[in-house]
Amino acid sequence: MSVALESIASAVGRRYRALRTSRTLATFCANPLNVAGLSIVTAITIAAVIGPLVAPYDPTTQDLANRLQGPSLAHPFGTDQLGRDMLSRLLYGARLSLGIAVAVTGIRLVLGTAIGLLAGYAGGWIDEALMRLVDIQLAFPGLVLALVIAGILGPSLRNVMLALAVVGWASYARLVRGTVLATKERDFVRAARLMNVSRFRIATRHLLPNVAGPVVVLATLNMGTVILGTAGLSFIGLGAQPPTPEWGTMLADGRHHLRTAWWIANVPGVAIMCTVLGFTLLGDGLRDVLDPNHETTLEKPT
Amino acid sequence: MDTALTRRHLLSAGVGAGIAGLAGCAETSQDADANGSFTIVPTSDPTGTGDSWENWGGMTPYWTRVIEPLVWGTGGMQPQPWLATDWTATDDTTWVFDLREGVTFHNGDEMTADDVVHSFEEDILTERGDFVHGWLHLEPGSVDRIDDYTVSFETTEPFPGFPGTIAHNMIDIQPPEADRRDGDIIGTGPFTLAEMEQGQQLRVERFEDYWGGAPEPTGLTFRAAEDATTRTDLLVAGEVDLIYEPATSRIDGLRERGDVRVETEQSSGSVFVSINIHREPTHDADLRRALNYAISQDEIVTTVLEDIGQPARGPLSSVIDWAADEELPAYERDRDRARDLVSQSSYDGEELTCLVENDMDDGRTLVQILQEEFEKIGVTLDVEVLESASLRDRTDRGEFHLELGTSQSNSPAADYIMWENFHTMGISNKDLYEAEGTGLHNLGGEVDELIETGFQSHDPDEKREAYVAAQREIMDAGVVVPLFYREYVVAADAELEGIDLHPIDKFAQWGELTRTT
Repeated sequence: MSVALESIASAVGRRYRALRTSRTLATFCANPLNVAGLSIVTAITIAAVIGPLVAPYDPTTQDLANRLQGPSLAHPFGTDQLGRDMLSRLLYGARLSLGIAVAVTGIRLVLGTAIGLLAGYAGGWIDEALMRLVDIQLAFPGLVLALVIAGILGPSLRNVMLALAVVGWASYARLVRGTVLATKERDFVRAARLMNVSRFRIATRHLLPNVAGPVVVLATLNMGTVILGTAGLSFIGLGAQPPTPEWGTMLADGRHHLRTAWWIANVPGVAIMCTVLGFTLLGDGLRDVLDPNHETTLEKPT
Repeated sequence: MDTALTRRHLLSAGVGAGIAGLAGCAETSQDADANGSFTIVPTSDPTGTGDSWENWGGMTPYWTRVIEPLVWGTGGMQPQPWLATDWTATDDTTWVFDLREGVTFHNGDEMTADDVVHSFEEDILTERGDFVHGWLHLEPGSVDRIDDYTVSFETTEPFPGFPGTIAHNMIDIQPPEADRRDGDIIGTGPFTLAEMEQGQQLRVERFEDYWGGAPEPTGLTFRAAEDATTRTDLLVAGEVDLIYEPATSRIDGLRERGDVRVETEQSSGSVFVSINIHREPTHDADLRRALNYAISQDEIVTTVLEDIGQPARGPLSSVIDWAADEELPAYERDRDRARDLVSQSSYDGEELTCLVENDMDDGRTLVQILQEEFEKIGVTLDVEVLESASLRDRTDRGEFHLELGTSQSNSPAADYIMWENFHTMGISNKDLYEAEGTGLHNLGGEVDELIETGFQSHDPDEKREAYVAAQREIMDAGVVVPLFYREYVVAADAELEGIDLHPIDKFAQWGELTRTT
């Protein structure tokens, strides 16, 4: 038992030392904006995970006698027009917003990567057909198309997720196809082909790892836009339904109280802004270290 | 002398130019006001959105006072002589109207019976189609000229509410020369249409030959701002003189300002939850009564509405002369009783669907209060906020349990609210009744008979008695959960005088509007 524990501890230690001496990590941390982005995203992720456990109140319980109360010790972010605690709603909303962003980005990533991989590796008429499909999808303005889809399907968070997922996969497909076209002509892929390695294995074991970097960067940058899109659609009533504590809905509730109860709109507004900023900074940082076409440097930016 | 252009010089020049520009704009606006012109912001776009007001070339027939109907409405919601001076029912279905003499159209011609016949036959009954036939109980070919100043109307059935029903801004009189759909509006009102910018604003000018005497203002500008917060900001910034329905949360703040006056008026509208009584489990009267016992109308008015409105006992605003209020059963909030009724009912814990239109004022807030209050008596509510077409589709198919909605009469005769909502052959119920023998909010039987009696009675006492009895039956059976009778708010520059509010907000008169300084 103790031997097993010792081996685990030593493995963790090795990992930790490797991480500390990692050139990639050093490059990432060299830019304070990257660290800021990572910190914001980490904080929001922690809030989303443990927030509902530490939230002081139920996010939907109304207290009309205490409506529109300003920030105080009892309610650090004040109360809304129905007397609900804004901090609790914000914490529950973080789980919802982040959950949707992860799910939508996940769907886009899987769908886009699969199509891009297939188009790039298969080539010929399959590539042609799939890329025209991508062109058609990219020709539509994303948010407008999402608005139409959500409008047709009816207002709900599930439909907003579907709408946003349907409109955002094309950029992944195009990115992955480009990378696959460049990678499949490299020597190690040719060697694998000569060794009669199956097409599926070449695609998954040799090509896919090479597109992971740019795709992860794109996905991280995408998280922010998905959060913005979800909040936007909920703001106009196509997303979360009352009393769901979704940030866009909270923002919509607060806009008529901007002068008298500024916190109702500003608390979710600032949360949305920070989250999008965090993912954007993190995405930029990841691009610094993961994008093979990008020059890495240990020098601090001037 | 050093003449080099420094950053400070550039900034100073920029600021100076900005201030000069702003001062120029401010002066322009003040000049217009000094001449007796006022800017008003109603709740909806006065130039129409899409095809809203295509019959008037985009100009709203409401508020602008360019066009007029034969009959107006008093503050007590009674028909009032206007372009017609008198009317008589010569038999059950025939009405004879005497026209006012000396009424001049904006093109200088005198209004005669030919113009009235043309307006009804061509513009109203033919162009606007079937819904007008049902609303006015008139068919094409039913309006005749008797002489230059007398017109007769033949209704499709006995309809004592006819004069009050045509007292509506949309039942206007224009001469045949008017190319109304092209924006060439020739009305008889105190103002003439001068200019319209689609989606922005429209301007009307004083009509000196108005039959009621020329109005005080030289002109009015109706500006589009459908968002309550935007309207309020425009007033506070001094860009407009009068707004309808400022943002509820800012009314107290406006009242405290010395430069703004706030007036309220109970309207002919009310807000209530209508229940689908033909769908399980809301077909159970015990459950519907339980929902009524769960709600405190007083609390809603004093909190969310900030005292703008009156707690309601019935589905119709108490400004309507035959609307019942004190005669109706009082469902004071009593959660214990509500829980008992829920347990007696066939409700077994399923989610009830409650629909609300996405642009209904305070709709989201109200529906969340209902959700919370119903939860406390053990009833779960699933809220769906829908845009109007989707909502209508759902209600037409009867696929809902509750709907948060409003009723509002824009004419003194509000009979149609009772008929269309609660009579089996009313617009809400007819299709489902004919297809499936059901409906939505129709109790049928005795209630239908009472509504018919009220609808067809010439005797005000008999009419009121029948309608009150029908409303009592409706409330006894818990067909609706009444919430509040609406009050509307007008906020204006404190220097404005002569604001004449009416229970029908669209009947406002601007003829006496002046500025004190």
